[in-house]
Formats: sequence, C-alpha cells, structure tokens
Amino acid sequence: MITLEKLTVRFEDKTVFDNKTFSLPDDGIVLLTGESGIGKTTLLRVICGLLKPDAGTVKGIDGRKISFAFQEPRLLGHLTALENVSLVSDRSTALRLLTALNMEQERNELCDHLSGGQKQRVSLARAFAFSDDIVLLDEPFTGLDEENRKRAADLIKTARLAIVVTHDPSDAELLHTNTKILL
Amino acid sequence: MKPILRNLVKICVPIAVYILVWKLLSMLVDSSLLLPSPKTVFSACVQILSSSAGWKTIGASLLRILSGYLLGCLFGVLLAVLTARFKTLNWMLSPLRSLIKTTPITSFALILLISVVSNVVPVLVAMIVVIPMIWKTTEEAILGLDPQLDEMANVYFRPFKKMYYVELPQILPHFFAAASTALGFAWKAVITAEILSLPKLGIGRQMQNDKLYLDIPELFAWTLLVILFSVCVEALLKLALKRAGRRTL
Repeated sequence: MITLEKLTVRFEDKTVFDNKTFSLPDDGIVLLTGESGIGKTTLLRVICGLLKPDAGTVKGIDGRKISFAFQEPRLLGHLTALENVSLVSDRSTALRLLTALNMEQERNELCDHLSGGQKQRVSLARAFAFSDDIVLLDEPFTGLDEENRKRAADLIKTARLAIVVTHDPSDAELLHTNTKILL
Repeated sequence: MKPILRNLVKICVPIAVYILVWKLLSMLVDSSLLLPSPKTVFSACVQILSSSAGWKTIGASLLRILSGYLLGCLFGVLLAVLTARFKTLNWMLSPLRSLIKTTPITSFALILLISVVSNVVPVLVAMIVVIPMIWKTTEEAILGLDPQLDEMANVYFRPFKKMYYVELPQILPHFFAAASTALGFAWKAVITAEILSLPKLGIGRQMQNDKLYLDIPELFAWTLLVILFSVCVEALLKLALKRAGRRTL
C-alpha cells in the first residue's frame, strides 16, 4: 500500500492539501478525478518527488521506479520520436512501444513536426520505456482518436501500478477499473 | 539564379559600388595624405601580405584576439552560471558588469598599462570587453530555461544527460549569437589597445607608426586587412559553432 500521510501542500496564495491522507494500492489502475485545480496534478508531483510537501510523508514507494507522462508532452523537439524514447531506454524497447502506440511510421520525425496527438503518444511511450512499475499519467488520452485511445489504454493496463488523472468518466470503462479517488 | 551565385552577387555588387565611390572621392580630394586611392591601398595590402614581417604582425594580433576572446568566453560563461545560480552573487556582481560595459576601452588599456606588460594589455582588454556580453546573454538564457522541460528531465535524466539534452540546446543558440557579436568587439578592442600599449608586434602598433610617419596608404591597408581578417575569422567561428551546435541541437 502506498500512503500519503498527513499531507499539507501550500502555494503562495492557496492551500491545496491541508493535513490530508491518501491510500493507494500497490498495483492496478487508479483513477484520480475531481474538479479542476483541486490538486490532482499536485498529488502526482508529490508522489514522483518533484514537489516536496510542506508537511506529511509518502510511504511505500521506496525502491520503486516512477515515470510520469505529463499533461503536456514535454518532448525534446529537436530530437526524433524514437530518439526521445530511446533516451530513457534501449532502442528495441523504444521501437516496440512506439509501434504499440501506432507511431512506427513517424518514429524518425522530429518531435517539433508531430501533431498534438502524436506527441502525446510519444510521451506515453517514453513513460513506459522508462518504467512500468509506477506510471503517473496526467490526462493521457488528450488529443487521441478512438483507435489510439484503445491502444494507449492497452498499454496502460500493462503497468504494475498506473495512477491516471482524468476528467472523462468513460476512461474507467476503457481502462477496466473501478478504483477511483475523488479529490 | 542559383543560390550560391545570388549570394555572391549580393556580396560583390555592394563592395564594387563602395570601391567606386571611394575611387571617385579620392579623385575629388586628390591627396593621398587625406584619402589614398583604392589602387594605392591595395598595393600596400599586397606589400604587407607578401612580407614575412606583415604575417608576423597579423599573427601576433590574431593570437591576442583569440586568447582574449576565448578567455572572455570562458569567464563570461562561468560568471553566468554562478550569477544565475546564486541570487546574492548576481546582486553583488551586476553593478560590476554594468561598470565594465560602460567603461571605455581606452581607460582599461591605459589603467592596465601602468602595471601590466604591453604585450598582454590587448589580451586583457579584449577579455574585459567580451566577458559582459557573454555573461549577460548566457545568464538570461539559463534563467529562461523551460521549467516544464526541467521538471521532465528531473524525472527521466541524470544531471549530465539533463545538461546535454535539455539545457544546452536551449542555451547554445543565445550563446552562439553573443559569441559571434563579441568576436567583432574583441578585434576592435585589441587593435585599440595595441595602438595605446605599442607591443613589439601588432597591427595596432603598425597603424600608430603609419600615422606618425604619415604613411596613409599603409594605414588604410592595415584597416582593410583588419576588416578582411575579422570577417574571415567570424565566418570560421560561425562555421565551427554551427558544427558544434548540430551535435547538441
């Protein structure tokens, strides 16, 4: 069990979490839902270690490798899709994941030249190339058509633990999960 | 018209026009002491370039320019990294940067002449001129690094990989632009400092001698050679920077 205990996170003019405790399973798919600005992305950043909470502790993630597919793709635009993914893994894994996400044809395109949906898929491939132990996914289906949503969902199901931030109720059905945390 | 030919025309036509205007003006003035003709100046250039003394003089100045320039780039980058990282240091050193930027080159040269060997003065002056240009631009580039890419890199990359793949590609275009401009300033600084410090060998010293002995065609010839070498060295630098950039960008 992963526990975020007595978590307090404050920004300059806003308190996002005030002494809150969250528990997450060790594996499976967990959906994080809730209104905009309620702290879903903040929670992912705390789990990943990108944001140090003002108070509270994160337990149960020691020794586990965490990857993060951000809401924006955050790719290196001067490198190709394959190079972006290969930077965090070996080339064959990168190629396998890009193929799984229907990006085989565009693998040698510079990321600056890709569409929003294509960039999103490269970002997903990079996250899974880095680690499928704990994968944090912030709105992973943004800009994807129906076929690529299914491919992305199939990939997400392979993670040991995927924590998915979403606004879309149909994502639960797509990911075959009932584990939801409403912030 | 082919692109190479078009570029050649774009360069050659204005130069031909300038030479023509120069020729007409020299005919009008009719005094080689005030404005020597292009032909006289070009002959003086050939004379300089055909003598080993001429090449030694050019070599000495070139060595000073490159030494001062490289040292300036090195310290400029170092200071940029430090002031971008430590706010207190930035606060402490930014007045110094403004001071260096606004102080005339001649003041630096004359002050340095009191305590430093004349051979070294032009190198130090070039370095002092280059430092603030590289420093300011590189610091701004470091401070302007994309925070989203930085966060992504913190998840996926170790520090060296982050620097090479994420930070350098964002900083280098700014650095290259500043480095290219700074080279022109380094030339001007070294020649000016050589005129004032009179080292044993140097284009600036030769120009000062020409002024003293009223050898105006040679004075013009040295000026022309400075422009030519400056353009060539800048073109070579741009080529080198482009190649270096291609590896990381």
